[in-house]
Amino acid sequence: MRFDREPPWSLIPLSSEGLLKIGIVYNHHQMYSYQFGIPVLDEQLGGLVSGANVLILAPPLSGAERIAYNLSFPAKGEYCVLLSADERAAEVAHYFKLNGTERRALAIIDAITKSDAPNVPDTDRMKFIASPVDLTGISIKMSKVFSAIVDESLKNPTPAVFPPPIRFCINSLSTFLMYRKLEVMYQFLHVISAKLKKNEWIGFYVLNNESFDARTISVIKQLMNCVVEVREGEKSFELRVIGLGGRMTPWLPYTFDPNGRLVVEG
Amino acid sequence: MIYIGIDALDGLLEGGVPDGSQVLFAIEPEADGQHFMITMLHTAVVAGKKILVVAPFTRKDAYLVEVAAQSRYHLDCYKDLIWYIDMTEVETITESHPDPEGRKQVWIDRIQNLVNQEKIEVIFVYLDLLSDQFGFNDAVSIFQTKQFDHPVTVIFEYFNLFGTDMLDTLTDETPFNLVVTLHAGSSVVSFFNFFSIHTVSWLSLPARSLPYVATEGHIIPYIPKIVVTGPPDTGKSTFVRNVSEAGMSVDRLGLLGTPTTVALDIGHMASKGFDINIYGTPGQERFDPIIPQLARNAMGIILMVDVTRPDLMSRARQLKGIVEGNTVVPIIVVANKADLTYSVTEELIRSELQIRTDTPVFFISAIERKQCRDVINSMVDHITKFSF
Repeated sequence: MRFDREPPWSLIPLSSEGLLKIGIVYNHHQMYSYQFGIPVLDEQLGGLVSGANVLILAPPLSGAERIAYNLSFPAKGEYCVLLSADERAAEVAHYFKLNGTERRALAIIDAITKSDAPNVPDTDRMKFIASPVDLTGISIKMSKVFSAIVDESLKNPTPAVFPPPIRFCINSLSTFLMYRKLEVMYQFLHVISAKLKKNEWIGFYVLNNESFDARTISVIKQLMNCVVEVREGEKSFELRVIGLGGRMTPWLPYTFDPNGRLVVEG
Repeated sequence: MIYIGIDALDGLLEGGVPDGSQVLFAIEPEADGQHFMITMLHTAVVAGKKILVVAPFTRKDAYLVEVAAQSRYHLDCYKDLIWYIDMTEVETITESHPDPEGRKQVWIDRIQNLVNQEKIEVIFVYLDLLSDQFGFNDAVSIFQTKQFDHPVTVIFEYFNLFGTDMLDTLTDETPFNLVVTLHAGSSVVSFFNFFSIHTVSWLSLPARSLPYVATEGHIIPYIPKIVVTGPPDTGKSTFVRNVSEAGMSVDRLGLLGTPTTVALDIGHMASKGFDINIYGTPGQERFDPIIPQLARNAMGIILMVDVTRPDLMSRARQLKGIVEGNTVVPIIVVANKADLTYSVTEELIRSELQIRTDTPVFFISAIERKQCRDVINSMVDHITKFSF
C-alpha cells in the first residue's frame, strides 16, 4: 500500500487496521517536530527536532528545574517521562497538574522519596528508586514506563502518532553526578540519548553550572545538541538558547506566573 | 553447592555453583535482570546459609520492601541469617575516609571481620558504587575469598553500561568462576530479555543465549520454538499432542480416514525448567510454501520418519532441507511407530537423510507419552548444552 501524498502524522489511525499501517508509516513518515511551548522561542527557533538532547545549564536559584518542567510539558498527544532526583514525585505531579497536564500523560521515576518512605509502592505512572546511585533500577523502571506508554498508545482508539512522542527530563544531572562517576553518567546518558534518538523522543537535562568544573560540563555537553543557558541579568534571570543548527537567541529575561508557568519576554 | 534457584540455569550448570566460587551477573541497560541475584539470595537463605548483603545503593528497609514488591520474597523473615551493609554504613565509611587507599583497607577489614566472626557463607554484592570508588578490579578484590578462614561464595551484580567488549577486558583481569550476562532485545521498547553464560570455569558449555521472562519476580527461561516436521501420517500431531500440557491442531479428515494437519499443530510444555512452544508442520507437499514461515527462528528441529514406510525417506530428506534452510540448528530424528513390525534401520535413516554422526536417532512410539517427553528433554540439551 502506498500513499499518493505523505499523510500528516496526526491523521494516521491506529485502531483496527492500525498495526499494519504502523509498519508502513513507521518506515516512510516525516519526522515529528516538538514545540518549546514558549511562544517567543517557537517563533524564533521554530520548535525542536525530534531526537534532540537539550541541556539546561543554570546557576542555583534560577528556577532551572521549572524551566525544564515547562519545556517538558506534554502537548496534546504527547507524554512526559521525568526522572527526578531533586523533587518528590508528588510535588512534580502537582506542578504539572496545575499547568494542565493530564494524569496519563505524565510518568515519574522518583529517586528520593523511597529513602525516607521505604514502603511507598510503585504505580503505573510513578516508580520509586532507592537512591540516585541505583542506575540499574532506574534503567529497568524507565524501560517499564516507556513500554507501558507505548502499549497504551497502541490501544488508543483515536488517531495517534507512533511511537508516541515523549519528552524525557532529568532533574537533575547535578545530583546524579554527585553520586556517580562522570564516566558512568556519560555512558548512561549516552545509552538514554541513543534510545531517545531512535524513537524520535527528546530529552531535557538540568545541570547546575556552578557546582562542576569546566571538564565535567564540556563532557556532558558532548551529548547535547542544544543548550539553554541561564544567567543572572540586571533585573531578573535571563535565558538564551544555543544550538539547533548554529542558531542562537539573544538573552531573554524570564519570570514565572503564579502557577509556575514560564513567561519569556521578547 | 549453592543453587541459583532457577531450574533451567541450575540444570545447565549441572547442579548449581560450587562453594567458594566468584560469580558475576552483568546486567545490560534495560534488561530485567535483578531477579537473578535476588532469586539466588532467597534460595541460599532458605537453604539456611548465612548471608551478607552489600547494597550501597539503598537503605536496608527500602531494600527489603523492594525485594518483597518485585520478587515476593520476604527476606525480613530471615533476620538471624542475613547481615547487611547498606547505604548508611557506606556513607559513613566514605565520609570518614576520604583517601581511597585508606578507605579500601577499611572495607577489607570490615568484610573480613564480619565474615570470619559470623561464619558467613555467601556474600551478595551490588558492585556499582564500589566500582566507581575503587575501580572494578579493586572493588572485586575487597571480597577475594582467600582472606576468609572458611569457604565463602561471592555473588556480584554489576550494571554493565559499557558492552561486552568492556566486560571481556574486565573479566580477563579479574577472573570469575561464572559470568552470566543479561541482555534486553529492544526496538521501540525492550520486548524480551535473554541471558548468556559468558564464562563457566568448572565445565565446558558452548556460548548460548537463551530468552527468559521475568514475571512476578520469577525468572522463567523459554524456548520459543521447536519445530516438528516429517512426511504425512508419521505421527507428528500425535507427538505434539502427547508432549503438550496444552495445545491444538488445525486439521481435516484426510484420505486415509484419519485427520491430517492442514495448517499447524501448536503445543506448549515445560521441560528442564524451560517453557517450550512446539510447532508441528503439515507433511503434505501442497503445504511446502508455508513451512519456511512456520520454521522461521526455530531453536530446534525434530524430524519424524515412519519406520514402517521406507518409501517416505526421500520426502523426509526434502522436508529437512526446507525446514533447515540456510540456518544451523540442532536436529533430532525420531523414528516413529517402532512398536510395529518395521524394516527401516538406523543405518538406512542416517544414509537416506544424510545426517551428521552426532545427530541422535530415537526409535519411539509417539503414542507413549514418556518416550515423547524423553525426545524433548534430549532436544533441550541439544539446544542449550551441546555444540552443533
